[in-house]
Amino acid sequence: MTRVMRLGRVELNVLNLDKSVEYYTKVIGLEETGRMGNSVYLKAWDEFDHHSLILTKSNKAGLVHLAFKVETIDDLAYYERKIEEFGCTTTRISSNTRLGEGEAVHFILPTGHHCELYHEIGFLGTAVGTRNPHPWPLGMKGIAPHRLDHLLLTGDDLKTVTRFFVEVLNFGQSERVVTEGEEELVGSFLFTTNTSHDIAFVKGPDAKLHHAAFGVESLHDVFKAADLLSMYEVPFDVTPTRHGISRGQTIYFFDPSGNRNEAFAGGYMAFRDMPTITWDASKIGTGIFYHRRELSESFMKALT
Amino acid sequence: MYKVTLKVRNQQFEYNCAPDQTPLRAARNEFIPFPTGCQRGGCGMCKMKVLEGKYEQELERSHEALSNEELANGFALACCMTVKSDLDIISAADYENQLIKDSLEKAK
Ligand code: FES
Ligand SMILES: [Fe+2]
Repeated sequence: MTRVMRLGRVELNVLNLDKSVEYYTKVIGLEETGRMGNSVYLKAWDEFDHHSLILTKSNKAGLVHLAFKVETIDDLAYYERKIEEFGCTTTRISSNTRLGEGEAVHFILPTGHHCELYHEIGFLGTAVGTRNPHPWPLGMKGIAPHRLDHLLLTGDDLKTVTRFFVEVLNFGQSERVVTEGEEELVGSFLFTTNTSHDIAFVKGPDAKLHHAAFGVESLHDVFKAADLLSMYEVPFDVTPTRHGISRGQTIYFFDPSGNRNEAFAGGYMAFRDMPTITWDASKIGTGIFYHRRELSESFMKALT
Repeated sequence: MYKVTLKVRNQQFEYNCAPDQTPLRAARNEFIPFPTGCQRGGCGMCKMKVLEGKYEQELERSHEALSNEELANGFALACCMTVKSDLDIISAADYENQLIKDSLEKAK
């Protein structure tokens, strides 16, 4: 069975490239792996592909594109057909359009976000290598997450975008938030790896980014991230707490362009045959912030 | 210290703002419910219209949050601006509501 392996990369618009690179290398602790045109490429220490984050200079913030890595090059043609059958238009993006990248299949999600599938990308290896590796590299900077973990996007038609991920890309739905009588889907959490979500959607304006999350190991690392963010005077959205949805531990904050970031730890393992967990919209406060049990205005309304 | 008069969420507030503070920060320090998001000029939640007073808007900001046209028309992002005199401001949402109300009044 062909399979989408993971959320491989995310490209964000940033207002000031130098400031953003400094933030993503010093505070988040990613490694710069290259530059091309108005873009800087970065990866986390535990990732082995050439990059997982691209920062591109713009006069606005937000998401440029997200991309999933597929298992073989032939999967591109397979998914291309399935995407077209679903009714989305696909185009091929040729090799080396961006640094270190092979060919990609581009399409627009039912929520208006630009999305790609790819297989080929340059290989750099993790910072600890694959031969008798140490558990973590010496000289780590900042939060130093293991990897890009997931994205939360907003959109209007969550039923259709969920159907797209489940039927076309063969994702599972781990959790969902529904209004009374299951009339409306206002939250949808989707996975292709064994994490609780690789991508999620909440009801809101189309084509917007809610947050990009980086994976850290434990609650202790989330707490330490919070310490670092205060040292660097990074604005917080939410200080460390637990999610009801995913059971993960979390902290939210903003990059220098106002894009929301998350440091995320834990969460259960998701399996293809797990039953989807349902949250009533009336319980969404507990679902998102398990301790506080209510949403905040900034969390709901600050989007880029 | 400058005096800021703010209309937001249908309420009126008055507070002091130091020259090295943003009007957003100063309001929050007084527990005034100024709509706040990224505090980085990216999301536009803090957008307001300056009715009177001098200020300097940080120009490096998301143009989706504050377009050049809005900038020229006296709109500003309270999270990334400096106050240069006493200021009379109204949140973009309240301003819009007021315009609608005014035009309905006129139509009567
Ligand atoms: S709070 Fe986001 S632009 Fe001011
Ligand atoms: Fe998240």
